[in-house]
Amino acid sequence: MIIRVKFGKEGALRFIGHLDVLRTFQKIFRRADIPMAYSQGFSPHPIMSFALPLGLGLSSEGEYLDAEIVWPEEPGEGDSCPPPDAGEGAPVPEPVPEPVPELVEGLVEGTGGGDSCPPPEAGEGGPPPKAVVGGGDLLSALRAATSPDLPIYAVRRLPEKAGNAMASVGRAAYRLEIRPEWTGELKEAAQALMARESILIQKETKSKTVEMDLRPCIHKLEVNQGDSPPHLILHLSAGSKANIKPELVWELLNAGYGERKPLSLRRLDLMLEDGTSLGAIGEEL
Amino acid sequence: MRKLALSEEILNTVEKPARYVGGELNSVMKDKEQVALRFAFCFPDVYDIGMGNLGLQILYDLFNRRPEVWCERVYSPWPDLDRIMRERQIPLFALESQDPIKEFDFLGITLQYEMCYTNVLQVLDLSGIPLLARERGEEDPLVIGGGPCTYNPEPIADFFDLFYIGEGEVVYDALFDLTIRLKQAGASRQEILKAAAGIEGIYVPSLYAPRYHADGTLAAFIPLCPEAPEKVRRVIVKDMDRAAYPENPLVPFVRPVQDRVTLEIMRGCIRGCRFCQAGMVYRPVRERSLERLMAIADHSLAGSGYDEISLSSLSSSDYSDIAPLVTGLMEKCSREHINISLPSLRIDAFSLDVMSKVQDVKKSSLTFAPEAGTQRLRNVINKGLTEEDIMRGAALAFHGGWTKVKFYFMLGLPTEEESDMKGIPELCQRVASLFFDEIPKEERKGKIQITASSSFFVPKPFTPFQWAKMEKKEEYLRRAHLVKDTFRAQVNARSMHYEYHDADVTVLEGVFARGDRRIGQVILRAYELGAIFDAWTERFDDARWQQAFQDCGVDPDFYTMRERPGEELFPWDFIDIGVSKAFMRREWERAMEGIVTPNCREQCSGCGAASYGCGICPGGGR
Repeated sequence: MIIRVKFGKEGALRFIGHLDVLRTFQKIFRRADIPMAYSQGFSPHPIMSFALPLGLGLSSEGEYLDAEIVWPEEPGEGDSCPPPDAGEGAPVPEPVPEPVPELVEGLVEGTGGGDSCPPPEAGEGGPPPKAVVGGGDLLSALRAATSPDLPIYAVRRLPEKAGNAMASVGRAAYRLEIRPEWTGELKEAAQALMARESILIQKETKSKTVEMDLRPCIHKLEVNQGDSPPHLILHLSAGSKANIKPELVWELLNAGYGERKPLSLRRLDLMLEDGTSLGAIGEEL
Repeated sequence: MRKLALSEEILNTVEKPARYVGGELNSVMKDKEQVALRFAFCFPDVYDIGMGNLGLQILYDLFNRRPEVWCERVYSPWPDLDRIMRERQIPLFALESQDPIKEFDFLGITLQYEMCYTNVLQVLDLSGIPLLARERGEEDPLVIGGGPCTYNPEPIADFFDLFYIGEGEVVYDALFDLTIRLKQAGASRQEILKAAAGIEGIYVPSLYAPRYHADGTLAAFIPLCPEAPEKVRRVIVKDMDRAAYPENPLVPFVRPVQDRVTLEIMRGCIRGCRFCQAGMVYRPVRERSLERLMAIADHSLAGSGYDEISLSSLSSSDYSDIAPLVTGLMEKCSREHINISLPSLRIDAFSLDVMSKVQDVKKSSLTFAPEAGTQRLRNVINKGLTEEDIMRGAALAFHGGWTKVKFYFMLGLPTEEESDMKGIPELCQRVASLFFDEIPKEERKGKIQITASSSFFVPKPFTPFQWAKMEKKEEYLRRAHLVKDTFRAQVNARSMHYEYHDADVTVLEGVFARGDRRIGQVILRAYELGAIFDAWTERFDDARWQQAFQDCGVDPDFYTMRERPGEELFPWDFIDIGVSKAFMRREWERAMEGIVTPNCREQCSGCGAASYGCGICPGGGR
């Protein structure tokens, strides 16, 4: 079964690079006792892929990884333990800033039946699942195994034909905190920028510099001052086709104001090209 | 949300900011208002190196089991951050709370190798703690040193309030109880130190004074108050099965040097190699039981999520139940996609069979550590490995498909002659020839590759070679070049690669290893001249150290170029490690005659470690 895990990066984790996050998740799955599927070959590795690496220093509440786990596919099949009915499973909460241990406890209570079912028999070749983890338990097991700076928000089961997270990313949403005194200037700059038909920029690739139009890559640009603290919301093209860093748009908006930097930079979500959140695909477990 | 001591701007500037932010899996957070004692545990090198240290993991776990104690960690900031912290006067902080070290009750520094001494000063300095213990005030943390280098703490005695002599599991509880009680009663720093000196294994250097003869050798080492015992006895764990073991080891986010669970199977070594300090100061051999080890492996792997486990000991093949242990681990690990790493296994049919199952034969290499090139010199150093052992092991390995072989040697061992130096390449050549003799051309699966590396021998305290004379840097290099030239002249020279360690560092290590209190000023001076991270070859600058010796009027040759007379009082003689000086002298004399001493399992040689009444010693149990 392929699952999609939605997670965040806070505090210390902002300074942990992509590869280290990947290795950490391998450990979290082991700590959570969720058996992963392995690739073939002399040095098999767990099958896991991430949607889009996050730049060092950024926090996030909308990161995704897809993982293949060894999991009974169909309820009632063979000796497999049936996952609890979706209706009975614990409600998966909306992203919370910091999952607290009490919440995890509550989730464990909400799932029924998982504990009383005997573990499935070991299949030929593959490792036997070490423990039976019920549907909602998957989330609570991961939460109990992670660190507070690496919160896990949701686990969904991906349909057969869903593209993997990495291939399907089309957009990314960011939130940039700003100083109150910048809001006026930034609003004007944002309006001017969005009113332009094209924004030609020089983009450096590995081998050469190419000219590209940034305008169709900016899907949303808002300056919000009502809420405190004031901030910018940016929806930008992301992924393999065009990957625009929020810093690039920030520089355009702040041209003429010297070395101005946003107070903080946070990724809010990753989306398909049509704007659907990667977290909306598949079914809740 | 945890606060961070460094601003976002700084963290975005420095190399590997993950070194400074903490928050790792299994790191421990407590409420500082709810604890009675805060301990900052420092490994004075960069995070990546210090993170995986087993001693740190054991004590971090042990201390934090006490609800009223909070143990946190601190490592040396890399020079890029070091510079920023000095410029902006940012105090050094602990990773967990990110609070300044100066607010702690203890700063504990583990001393794993001599070349970290200037980093000790860096840590104190960045913390805002006076470098010299005598200049510290009531508000400063108590600075305590532990680890292998404390078997001669004298060169760094001026910088520490206390040293812990022995294995960390034993008396820290008593020290914490005493400190909490006395602090609550309003006792002064001096009162706490005097009381601590009464705990077995605790050495308070300020309570002792050395006296020297006119020729510079030590005349006496005098306790200055009744609380200071004449001898400080090393403390050890008597029953390894009952000793605490971290079942939820810290797991860093960034890849550390040791990215795996470490399974310490036993302490001590039966072999008694005469150059080896660990082989003497960890006597007697004490094993963990097979059952306990399997349970630890289960818990540590589950608690950490690591996918690799490594056996740790001085000589794993000598563990009584090595075969069932390795077989049991292999069963578990192949089931759960876990790799096993088996360092320090002797090459024989069993170990080769195991290794062929857990690693890729074509890629991996086999390691022999003969330490010396000739049987004569191997007898002098009491290294049990014979040429026959090496040849038999190598032949088995070649038939098993291995083609890469590594050899470790030492140059500059006592009594070494030119024939011993040339013996190194000659031995390697015989192994290369063996490959061509044993394996027919059509069955060879690759080219034979022999890598030999040599370090220069440094005499250590509490070894039979503690009386030995060292050589000058130029002489070390001459010997290394002679070995290199002899390698070039071998028939299969193209299949052999030789490398040797730095000679500058060797001489300095020699001074630190057997130095006395007068060396402290030299270390301080070198630090003032800019020395830090001396263990890093690219950062080590010998000129700074030569300058420091000159500025302090200290002659390094006094410490390295003398063969010490049998009756000389050593700066470390006030420490009682259980193994007697008389035994080591006997071993020195046997070495000079080339006589081998049987290992602890064959026959007890009466070294004195039996006084602990545990382990392999007669009447010790296991």
